[in-house]
Amino acid sequence: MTTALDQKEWQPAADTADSSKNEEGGKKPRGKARFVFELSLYLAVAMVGLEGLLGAIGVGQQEIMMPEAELGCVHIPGKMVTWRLEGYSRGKFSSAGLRDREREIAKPAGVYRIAVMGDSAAEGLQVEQNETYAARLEERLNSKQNQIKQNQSEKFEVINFGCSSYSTGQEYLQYKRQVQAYKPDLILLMMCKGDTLENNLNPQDRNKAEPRPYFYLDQAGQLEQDNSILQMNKAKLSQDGWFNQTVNWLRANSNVYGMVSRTNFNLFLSDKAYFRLTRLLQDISRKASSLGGKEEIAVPLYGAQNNRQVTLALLSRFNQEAKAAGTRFAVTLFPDVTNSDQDWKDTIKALKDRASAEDFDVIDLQPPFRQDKNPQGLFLQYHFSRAGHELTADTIEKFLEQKKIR
Amino acid sequence: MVASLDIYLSDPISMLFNSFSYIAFFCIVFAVYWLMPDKHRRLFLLLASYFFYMSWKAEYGLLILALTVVNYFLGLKIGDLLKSQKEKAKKWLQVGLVFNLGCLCFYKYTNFLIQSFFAAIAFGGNLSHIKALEAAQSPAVNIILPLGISFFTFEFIHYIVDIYRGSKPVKSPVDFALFASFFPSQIAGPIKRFQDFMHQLEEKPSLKREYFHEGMFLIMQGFFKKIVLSDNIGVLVGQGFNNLASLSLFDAWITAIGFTFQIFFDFSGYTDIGRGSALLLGYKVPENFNLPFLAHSLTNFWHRWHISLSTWLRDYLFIPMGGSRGSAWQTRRNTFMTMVLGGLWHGADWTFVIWGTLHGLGLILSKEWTDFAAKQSFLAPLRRSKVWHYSGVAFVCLFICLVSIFMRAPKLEQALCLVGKFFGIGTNIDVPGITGAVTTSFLQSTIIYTLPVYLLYAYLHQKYLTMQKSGQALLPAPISALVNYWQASPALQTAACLTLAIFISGMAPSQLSPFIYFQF
Repeated sequence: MTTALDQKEWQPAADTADSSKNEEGGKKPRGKARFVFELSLYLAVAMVGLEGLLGAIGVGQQEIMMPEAELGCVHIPGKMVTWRLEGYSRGKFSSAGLRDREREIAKPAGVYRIAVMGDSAAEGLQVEQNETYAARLEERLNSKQNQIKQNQSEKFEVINFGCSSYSTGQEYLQYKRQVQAYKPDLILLMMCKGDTLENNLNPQDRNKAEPRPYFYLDQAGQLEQDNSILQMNKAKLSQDGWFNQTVNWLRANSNVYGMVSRTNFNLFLSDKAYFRLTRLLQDISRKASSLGGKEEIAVPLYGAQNNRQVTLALLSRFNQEAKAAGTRFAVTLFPDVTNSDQDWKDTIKALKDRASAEDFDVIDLQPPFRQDKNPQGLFLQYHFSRAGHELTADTIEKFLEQKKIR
Repeated sequence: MVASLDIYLSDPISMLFNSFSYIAFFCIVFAVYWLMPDKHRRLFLLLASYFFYMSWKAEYGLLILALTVVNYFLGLKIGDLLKSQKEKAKKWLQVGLVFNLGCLCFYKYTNFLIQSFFAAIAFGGNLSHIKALEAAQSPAVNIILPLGISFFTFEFIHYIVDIYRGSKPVKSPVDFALFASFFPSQIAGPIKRFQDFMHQLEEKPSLKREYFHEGMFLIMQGFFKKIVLSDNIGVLVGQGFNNLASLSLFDAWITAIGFTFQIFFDFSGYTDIGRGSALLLGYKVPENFNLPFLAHSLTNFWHRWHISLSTWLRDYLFIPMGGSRGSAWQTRRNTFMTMVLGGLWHGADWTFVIWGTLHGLGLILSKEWTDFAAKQSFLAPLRRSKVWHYSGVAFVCLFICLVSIFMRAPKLEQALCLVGKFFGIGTNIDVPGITGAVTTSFLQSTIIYTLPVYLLYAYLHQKYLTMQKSGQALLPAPISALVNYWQASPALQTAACLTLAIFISGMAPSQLSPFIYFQF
């Protein structure tokens, strides 16, 4: 059998004699070793060069989250981010992992502190950090305050705790874990249409569930936490062990890692063959690990849940705990300018009823957004544009005036 | 178990050249192809090509099979009759042309013809008639355009015409079927010539070192053009076309120029990946582009842009119509008709007809101007200068950018709107003036870094190749030493290839985009 990989076809005639000599003299393995050594060396140099290049042009810096055992994921503290997925921004998270400048945990005297919480809508990576509604609100409140009382130092602090992909449940736990320490006077929780779908888990979806804390209402109607998915992913979410530590270090510091990770994510979403291959490998690995007799995970037993009821219960709990800490609680509703989703309309109505019954505030962004002369200009694709953030800040400022908070 | 396997096997995978699916497919084909005995390779490549084509829609395979069978026998018949009964051979050629063009028209133009017919009636009727038609939304037939039909029908037409002109028909059905379905050039060309392809089959393709290097280089270059440049420019162009009403002057320029670059990098990227894949399998397919934006006249542009189509149009349309053998008016008419039909070949819409018409008129005027300028003695010194040359280059670029708008715009009024804005008509001249959303996105995108770097590289590379061909002293000694070191170090080449692959994949926008020419 002749194949085209034969030496005669593959190598020029002059090389063929050399190669046979090499084989006889046993030099070929050394040639291979040299190739591997050289390749490793060149690759190392190339990766260093690529890191520098990517850093300079701001590519591979969209990796913003790292796994975490209690919340599922958190912002990478101090991470340099250049965001191009929708809109554009370039800047660093604070050392506490906030989309904000460095903030003291201890509240200075005479400062009214507002904690902006929510998911990507509050985080606002689509615009520069000083253009988010949190930053704009702080600027607006302080500039007006200074107009009223000359020479007065900063009176308001609006801190942005927004974090992409967070559910209401994660935001509630984030409050307890991080935000409470800042002793905010007011919490502004941004709530979006999809949030109600992320707080609870339907038992049949357990195998494909995102690793995050879930909540459910038990038979007595009490809100309970289901950490079983987090426990199932314990090894992946842990910050211990050399592998996880190395990956987390790369996540935080390497643009090349960021690039590869983004490619993996894009391919998983857009390439059917890649998706199927990855799922196949994941399934095999899951089955293999289940054969190893790992520790039993306690899975709470509950039936199908009502998304809206679980979310409302979470908000009630959030409000109660905020109140107990002396913090006022308000929900800001992300605008649905099409106003076409009946389920969301019903959720808003139920939420407003709950708010008036339990004494927390609701800031509905829908009316000002719909009344704007260019509603489309308030959004990029899904998130607020610069103008959208400005209008949100304006609406919240009016609310604060109305409530005589400022 | 069956149910759990379903998730991996259901729903066919479309193998775009820029997808993981294609890379996986090609790696398997490459390995099996070269490891199997030589005598089975053609059949294996044929099966792989059908698998590739049917990955989009299995029924497409039957169409290309039917066309292949009919044209194979037509070729044999015409070849046989040519020896003794030329008139009969001509009749069979006509049958073949009607069959191939009929298939193309049926799949590509049926709805266009129906809608144009009803629009013409409506145009001649009264307003209520038009409204009634609009309400009915014009009748349309549910026909799915088979991918690549425009390309492979042109290859079949070339085949039967060349047999009639005296070339020998292909005897082996496998070889002929492989010519028709060869996957690296199946969907969007380059349009091959069967004589070249059969010659390579006779020579028994082998994996030569230079083919491997050139093939890998072309594939990497193609991915770079498509993923890093075209797809990222496409995001800006899409933003521009989706917000035509609010475009500023800069926005309009970026959108129009952007689309010209997008389609060039998209199509030449596709061609590079296709040519590279073919080379790795031991075959050469023709080049399609030769730095078209350095063309100094429109005629020169068509010698550099989509070369396999322009030569096809010349050989099988322009020349049979009389070419430039008749009077000046006949030549102009033939040029014009060739370009209008070339425009219609690209797509079944009036925007493509206008695109072809403008190219036809542009070619005629370009020729007239060249002839006129050649006769003016006072222009002679200027014509020899670089200013003249580069003015021509700038004019061609501007013309192509403007005309390409008709290729991209979904409707005529949108194309005219953008053309107007390109010249500042109807643009928003409020503060901040001539910049706008697309301009801002452009300044924030990676294109601002990658495009100038690539253009500089392409220019220097072309210059290097030209110097190499002409045997001039090539490069300064240190650079020459580096090039020699590069050529002698497989480890360095592998490392560079891997690094470039990481860079390219990471620069992809979030959504995979199909190639623009797939729709033609």
